[in-house]
Amino acid sequence: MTDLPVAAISVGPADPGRLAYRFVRDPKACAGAAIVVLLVAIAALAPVLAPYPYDDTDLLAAWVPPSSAHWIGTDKLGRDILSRLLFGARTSLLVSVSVLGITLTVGMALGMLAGYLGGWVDSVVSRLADIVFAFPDVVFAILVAAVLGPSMLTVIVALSIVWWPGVARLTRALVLVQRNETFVEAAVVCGTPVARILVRHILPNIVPPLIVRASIGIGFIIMSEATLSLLGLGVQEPQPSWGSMIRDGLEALRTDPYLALSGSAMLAVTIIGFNLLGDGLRDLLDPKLAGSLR
Amino acid sequence: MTMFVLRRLLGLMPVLAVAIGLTFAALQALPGDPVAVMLSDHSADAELAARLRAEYGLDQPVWRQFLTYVAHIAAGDFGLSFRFVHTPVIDVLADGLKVSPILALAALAVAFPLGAFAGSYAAIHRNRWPDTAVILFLVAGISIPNFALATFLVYVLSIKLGVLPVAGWGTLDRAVLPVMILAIPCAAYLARLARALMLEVLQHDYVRTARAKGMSERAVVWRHAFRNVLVPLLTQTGVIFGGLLSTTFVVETIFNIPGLGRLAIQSIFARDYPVAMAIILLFTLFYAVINLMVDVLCAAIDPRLRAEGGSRP
Amino acid sequence: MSAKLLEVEELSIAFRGLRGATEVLSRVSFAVAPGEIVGVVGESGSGKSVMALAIMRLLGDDGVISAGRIRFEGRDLAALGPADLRQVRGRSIGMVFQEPMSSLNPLLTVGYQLAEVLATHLRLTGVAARRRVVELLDEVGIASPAERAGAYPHQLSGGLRQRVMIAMAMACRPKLLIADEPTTALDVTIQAQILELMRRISRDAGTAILLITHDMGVIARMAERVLVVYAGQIVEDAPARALFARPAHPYTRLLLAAMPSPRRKTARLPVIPGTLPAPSRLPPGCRFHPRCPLAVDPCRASPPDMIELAAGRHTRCIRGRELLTQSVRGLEPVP
Repeated sequence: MTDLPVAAISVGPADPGRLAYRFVRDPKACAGAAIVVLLVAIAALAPVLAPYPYDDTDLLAAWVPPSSAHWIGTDKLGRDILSRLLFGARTSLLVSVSVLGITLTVGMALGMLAGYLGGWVDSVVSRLADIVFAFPDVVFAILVAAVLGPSMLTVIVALSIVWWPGVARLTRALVLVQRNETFVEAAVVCGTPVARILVRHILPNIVPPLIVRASIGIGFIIMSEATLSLLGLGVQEPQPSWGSMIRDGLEALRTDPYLALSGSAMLAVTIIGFNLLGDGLRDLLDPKLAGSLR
Repeated sequence: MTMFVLRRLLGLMPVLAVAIGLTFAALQALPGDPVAVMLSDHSADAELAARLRAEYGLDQPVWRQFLTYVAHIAAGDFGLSFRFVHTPVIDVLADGLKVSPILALAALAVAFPLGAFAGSYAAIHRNRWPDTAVILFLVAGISIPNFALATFLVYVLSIKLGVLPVAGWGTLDRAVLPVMILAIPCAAYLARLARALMLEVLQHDYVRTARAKGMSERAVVWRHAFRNVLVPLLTQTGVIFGGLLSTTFVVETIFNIPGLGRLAIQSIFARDYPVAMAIILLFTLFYAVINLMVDVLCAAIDPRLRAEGGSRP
Repeated sequence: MSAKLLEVEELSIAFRGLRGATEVLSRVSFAVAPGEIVGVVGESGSGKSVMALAIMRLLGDDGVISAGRIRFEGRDLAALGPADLRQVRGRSIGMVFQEPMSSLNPLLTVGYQLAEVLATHLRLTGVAARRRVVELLDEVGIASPAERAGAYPHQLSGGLRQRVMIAMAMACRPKLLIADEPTTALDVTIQAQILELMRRISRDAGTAILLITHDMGVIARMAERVLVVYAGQIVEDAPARALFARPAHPYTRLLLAAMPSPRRKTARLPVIPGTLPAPSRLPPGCRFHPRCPLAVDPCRASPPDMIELAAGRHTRCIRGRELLTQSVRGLEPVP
């Protein structure tokens, strides 16, 4: 990412009611929000909604086509695909929320310190970020996954290592803009402690662009999790992940396409949902960037 | 211009250093004893184990191993494979080296013109049907994950319609689907960017000047405006090439293509870490070189960038 | 056939916006004779630049000519198709813009951009075109023109860039040069040089100039005839000499009074009270009446028409005749 769009991102305080109204008026954003809400509901209610446990194998009923017993059929171990898709939403959301939580915390903290303090802190943080940026992103995640060995925790750690620099760099750039604002200078002159300036004066002003960043990033995180799982470096059996389900399904695509197709559809809808929501939020919170893709 | 290229080449060094350092660190940190991997069924043979340790330099202290690693890489030698005993890594990579770069560059060669043209075309026809069509393509192309796209396309084109082979490599028809799947998300992203850039550039005064000169609309758009779209578009192309390289891992695995990406994944599972790390190193270098070429290309197009200390606009 | 080169008749221009169309230029009529230098003066936002762009049909997607004709050498530019229009642009009418910084393409050499005009209209290419480019650059007073032809815009100063723009506009020896604030972005010393250059070229090539500016000083230096524009209307149309001697519209008077002059005794420049009304919020009656020190009741009641005071002298003020013949109270400079 370059520092390019930062100058364009300056968000003033806005009336929440008005923002909500504009959000509701945007059909794309509403569709995105609906998909995301549905997905969260599926993940939360998976044990209630799923007709079978996700790891309930029945080798005699392997690759059963859709029927009244198994609406989307079963996989090679005779597990109910629908149930695994529903539980797969849990995996996707768990990973993405964890990665987002870690990267936002670490990235914002380091980015704010780097931007506000400058000097060697800035150099260290920026160089660390440069190291990660030197690698193509999933390639770096594969390197981390290879070292740590495949597991869900590995995916979370690997994607967090890949994602924090982007957050840090954006935060740093936003803080650099804020630092020169009069109200921050006033706080400095008054002897306000650094931590208080950062949290009380700067943080509220840099949150909206970061929300936009996070909402757009979450689609990519879900996609990256699925990629690692598809490559076998991510979530392990019997825990369901859409990525590994698609891999299993691809092997039998010719004879039993339901696993691969339903997994792909689920993943595509999820990512479209988050992207639509992200675009909507960006239009809402970042008026200068809005309309670039009208 | 020569100085410019030389300066950019020097800029590669830190990237290379970081990549070498990290892959070496990863090799050290990796779980499992490589000798045990090699000796899967002769693990009791202590003498053989000692000989292998010496052959692979594993009996040396870590810093010696690192220096050897660096020196060997500088000479194009990535050491010996763990999986294929006595085989240099470079030989294991040889076949993949002929596949993956071609795959990635072919995808780029499709994606860049397609994205640049579709985006610009949409911008010129803003709010009319070509624009709407391109935007639909953008939303779908950016949002549908590459392997979901692969699933749909393979299912429809290869299995239902039978027009393209399901997997494999070596013939042109086998390359169509992998290249498409690599290219479509990139093209969509580039088109979105090109559209926004073109809309902005068309507002510039020099476009009005070109029109005031009595030039045809086609010349105004493609000779004057498009040139100005190209530099920022190329810069972003360099950045998203990283994503394209990442996708080759997936595409090679799905389509069973004997490239470096598939080999890297296989090597990780076979604990053949020298091969996996060599591939990660090569991908990183490839990524850096493409970005260097982008820089040089941008400087060739934009005279302002050729100046000392010039930065991309 | 009339003797006029350009005749604008009842020209109205509207811009489409979110809340419908807004008229920014209302029924403007004027004419330019061959070789004549006509100055158009007004505040920014008065519609004078829109007028210039409309003649070249460069209003963009949102601006439309809602009424009127632009007769140029007998043809109506307002009704011309794109292909015919391109024949006029750059060939019969040249144009120079305000911002020499951004009006040239940063990625092409100035020589190339100049040669484009020659290739487009005169089918001049190769060595012949290159030779002509150097001649043209030399003509606008650029030193070592052969070298400068290979320069990129960012390597030239603002004054040089504006000279290139003029060379480009004059490359096909057009009958009319439209210059939209050509010197506004330049240093004062460069301004004088550029104006002098334009005057010389106009004389040598017999090119008429439509000079658009907000600067009465530029008008005084250059124009033979002056059009004063206020809120999308021409409010006074007069020979320069007569207008400077005795303005027939209160707005012109105030503009002249606001001009800095070495002979002026008072230290402070008078200002015109109030602001230019937005095109969407025009006052009823005379558009200038809220700011006019001479406004009387009829001014507020109905919009005044252009009245002819003498041959070639028009004003859109019902008290215009008074202004010419007797000294009217209320127009003394406000200190």
